[in-house]
Amino acid sequence: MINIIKNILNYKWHISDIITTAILIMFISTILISSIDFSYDWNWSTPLGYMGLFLIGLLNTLRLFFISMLIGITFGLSLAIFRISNNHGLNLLGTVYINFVRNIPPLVFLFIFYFFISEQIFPKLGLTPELFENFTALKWLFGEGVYGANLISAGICLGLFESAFFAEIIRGAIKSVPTGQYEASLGLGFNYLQTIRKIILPQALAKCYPSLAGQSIIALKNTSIASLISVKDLVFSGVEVVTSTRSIFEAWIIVAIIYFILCFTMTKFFNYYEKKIENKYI
Amino acid sequence: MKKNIKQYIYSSIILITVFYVLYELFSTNNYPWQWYSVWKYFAVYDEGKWWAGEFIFGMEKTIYIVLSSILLSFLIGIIIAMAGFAKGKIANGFAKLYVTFVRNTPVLVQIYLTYFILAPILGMDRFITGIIVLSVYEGAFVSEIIRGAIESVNRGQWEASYSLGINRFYTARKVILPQAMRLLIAPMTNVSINLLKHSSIVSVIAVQDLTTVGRDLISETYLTMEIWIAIAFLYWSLSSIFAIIGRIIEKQIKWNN
Repeated sequence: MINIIKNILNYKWHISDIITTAILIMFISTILISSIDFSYDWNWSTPLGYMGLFLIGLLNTLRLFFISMLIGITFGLSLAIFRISNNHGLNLLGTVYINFVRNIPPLVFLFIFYFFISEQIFPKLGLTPELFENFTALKWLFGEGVYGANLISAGICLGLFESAFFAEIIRGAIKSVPTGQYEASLGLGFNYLQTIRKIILPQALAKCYPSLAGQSIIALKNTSIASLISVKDLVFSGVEVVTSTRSIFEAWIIVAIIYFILCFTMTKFFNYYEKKIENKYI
Repeated sequence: MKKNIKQYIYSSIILITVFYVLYELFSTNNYPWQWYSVWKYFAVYDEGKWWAGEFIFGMEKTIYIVLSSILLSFLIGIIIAMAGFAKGKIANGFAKLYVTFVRNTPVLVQIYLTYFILAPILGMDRFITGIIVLSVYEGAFVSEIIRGAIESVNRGQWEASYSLGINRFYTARKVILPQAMRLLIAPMTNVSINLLKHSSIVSVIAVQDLTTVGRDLISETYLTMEIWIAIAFLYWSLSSIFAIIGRIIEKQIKWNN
């Protein structure tokens, strides 16, 4: 303890330290000076009383994340296999889809396909709000009534959006596996699908693990957009708390902290597993 | 030759099925398509002249936001990368803290935080708030890109430069940065396309960009699908233009070296 204090006291200030501290002090003092005229009474007890609402929002965010990851990985994997296949039609299909999705904003994609899926495709499949009210399992998994159906279609949209990015990552990794592996496997009598499934994909997925992890954190952050089509996720519960209690500052700070904790723990978790996978496969 | 024909048959069957499914989905619903009423939002011909429609104004604002945030985020990225490479521990810690915080929260939350907390205190308007949030968000990624580019320059270059008697700052500026710059072009194109995509989120604080224009037009006319598809097409063409510009710059730099 004494050593730490001694180290702090004896710390030699580098020029970069001085500049950084000066900039920070300037920034904070500007905020403080301009906030003199701006009166805001902090009141942490009211928004903290709404913690249940934030937790429901967190739960819905996690549900969205899992649905979008499930669809994103499976659909992305098949798109990647489309793109490396020799078939022109599949190849063209994959290229067009990926090119389209990667070049439009997630918000616009969500606005197009959310209404499309929830209003045209879901009724055709028989996924109506009544179904979500009648089945307890669905209610527990996705939420009640209309919100369950909305959450699923938003999750599907986000998954379709992320799948293009997952597909590109997986395709790059598959391309990086040496061609000798294909030839050896085909020479041993495996057919094409078996080669991909048993020889190529295990090597490729171990290689692209870090970028997949990064993309899945981006997917988690992208779920916040679903609040704009009134899916009750964490940001939406923030909006609800703000509109009902008018404690703007506290609510948004709480939402930001929850997101930060979620993403930060996920980053650490992925880093831990990255080292394990590196030791095992590479 | 035989294989080729088989392949064409397969691919045409697949494409026809896909188009049929799409046609089924788009036609058998009860949505009345009215494409003819969308064109006037692109451009109008009146009194012997072409007049720009609402989409063009929205696009102008979007391009303005994106270009200014590219510049600002590059500046922020360089500053944060410099702080990360500096010898001082406080500067290092600040750079690390900044990058961790910005990378681990969604842009939407950052926009709400800035717009509802910082903007009223500092008296910023929503347009500037949008630009600042986007550049702060993307600046973290740019700083990581610059860090990676500088680290990928061979260590021997630093040592050779030191042994020639050149100091640290001058080495960085004259020896390392020109080599790192070449590696920066492709990721910076990526960043600018990302900025274009994130700039649509600015519409939540009612900056009049392309997405906001679309939302307003939809609430006026109820042409939901047509307008969103038109806007998606505009965003797609904008980011394709960005990609093409990036490729041209990359080629130019390769020629020069």
